[in-house]
Amino acid sequence: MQPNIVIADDHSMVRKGIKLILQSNLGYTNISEVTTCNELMNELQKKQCSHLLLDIIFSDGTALEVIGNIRQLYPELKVMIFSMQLAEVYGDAFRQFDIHYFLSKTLGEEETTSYLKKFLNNEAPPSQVPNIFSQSNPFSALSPRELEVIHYLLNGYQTKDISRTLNLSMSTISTLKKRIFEKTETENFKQLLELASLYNINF
Amino acid sequence: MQFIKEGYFQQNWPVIVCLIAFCCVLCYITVRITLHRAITRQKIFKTLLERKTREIKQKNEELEKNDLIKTRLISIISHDLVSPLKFIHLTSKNLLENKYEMSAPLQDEMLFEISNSSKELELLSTNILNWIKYQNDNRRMKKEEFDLYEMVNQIFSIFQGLARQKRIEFVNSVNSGLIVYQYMEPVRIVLYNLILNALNFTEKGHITISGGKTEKGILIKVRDEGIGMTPEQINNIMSEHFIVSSATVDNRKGNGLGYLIIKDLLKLVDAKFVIKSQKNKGTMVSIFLPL
Repeated sequence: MQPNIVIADDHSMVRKGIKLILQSNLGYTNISEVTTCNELMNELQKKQCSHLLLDIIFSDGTALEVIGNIRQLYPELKVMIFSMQLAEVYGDAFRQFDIHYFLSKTLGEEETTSYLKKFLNNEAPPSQVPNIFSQSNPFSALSPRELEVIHYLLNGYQTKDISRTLNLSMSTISTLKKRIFEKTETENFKQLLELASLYNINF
Repeated sequence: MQFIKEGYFQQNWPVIVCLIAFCCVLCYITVRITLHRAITRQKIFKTLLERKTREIKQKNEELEKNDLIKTRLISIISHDLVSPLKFIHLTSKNLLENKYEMSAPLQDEMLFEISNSSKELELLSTNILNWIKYQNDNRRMKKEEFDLYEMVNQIFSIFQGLARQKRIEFVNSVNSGLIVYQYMEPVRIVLYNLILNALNFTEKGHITISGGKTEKGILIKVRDEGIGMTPEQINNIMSEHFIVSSATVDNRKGNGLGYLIIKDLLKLVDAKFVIKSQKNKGTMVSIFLPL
């Protein structure tokens, strides 16, 4: 049976590029595209999907905010993260949701194609090569919740706005913020922003 | 001798006392004047120092803000420029290699996307350049005469393709041949960004630009029939702390760069702007450029 694939990415060019690889190189034709987290949830509800290619950052939030729900509602759905963000930072967070495929957008075409093939053939995920960089990246230590908060923090949201967006109390957000500063060993917003840009954390 | 001496003193003592008193008064006055001068100088130094400190503080804040914008730009470049470019390359390469096995609709879909994306990337790159260009404080700006009607037409032509796709019609309501004396480049960049914003947040309808001279300056209005903004979003844009991404409204794309540039440039030329909006009815941005 042909897998039913959903590509969730906020850049239409990226979606089309992946769609073309899937369709012309690998021969998959049941492909739908979504632009935002909201659309993704609607699409999953509407259609019986088997595989999801998921970017991390969307215009209406991050994948971390919806992945818990997706896991609960569609336990059968196979998920692969496909992002510019670093696996050493986000990999652990998604592993906590039992997601073991993490494909970087920076990889070349051949590697991308063979990785996609493995994922869609339901092969075991390639074992993670221990990355020497992961220990030195100050953002690797962040928990999923902290990664959710840091996204909005870097985007200039105030504690009040973050608490409303993520539906968490102000004090929770404050604690998470404090822990982010502790773990990254930064003292203020400016330092955090500089560090994020140094370590290629996009927001 | 002694008598004479004594006599001299006795004879002249009032003069000597006067002399001493005079000396004392002179000394006192000199000291007072010096002291007074020292105090005034100190006061001047103090005010000067205060002014300098204020200037440095202000510069610092500006630099800090620029730093924020710079990091924001780095993020925009890596997220919104690099990955689409990479996929334009990948997709066009695929099209070339597999064109005989590909259905015509699929080819069309891909070509359409490549054409759109590359246009978007061009617009975004232009805007990033726009911002960088005006970050140099020493850059001298001069007012010059130009035809506002022609300028609006010229900017419209850049976006014509995008507008046609969305069934949006551009309307230039500026009096034809209206010559204004203003900072031309900043006005052009501001209008460019306002039109780009209007385009991004409008699905169909009209985007109208009107403008004219008033007693004290020039008033330009950009009106769209798009999804509009909430009072909260407008406040956010107008706030001093506005840095980023608040333009991401209702799932539509936007990286907040536009209003950042608009605000920066309008401040540079002492202009004011007002946003009026009604949800789902449209937005009108008025800019006032003083003479």
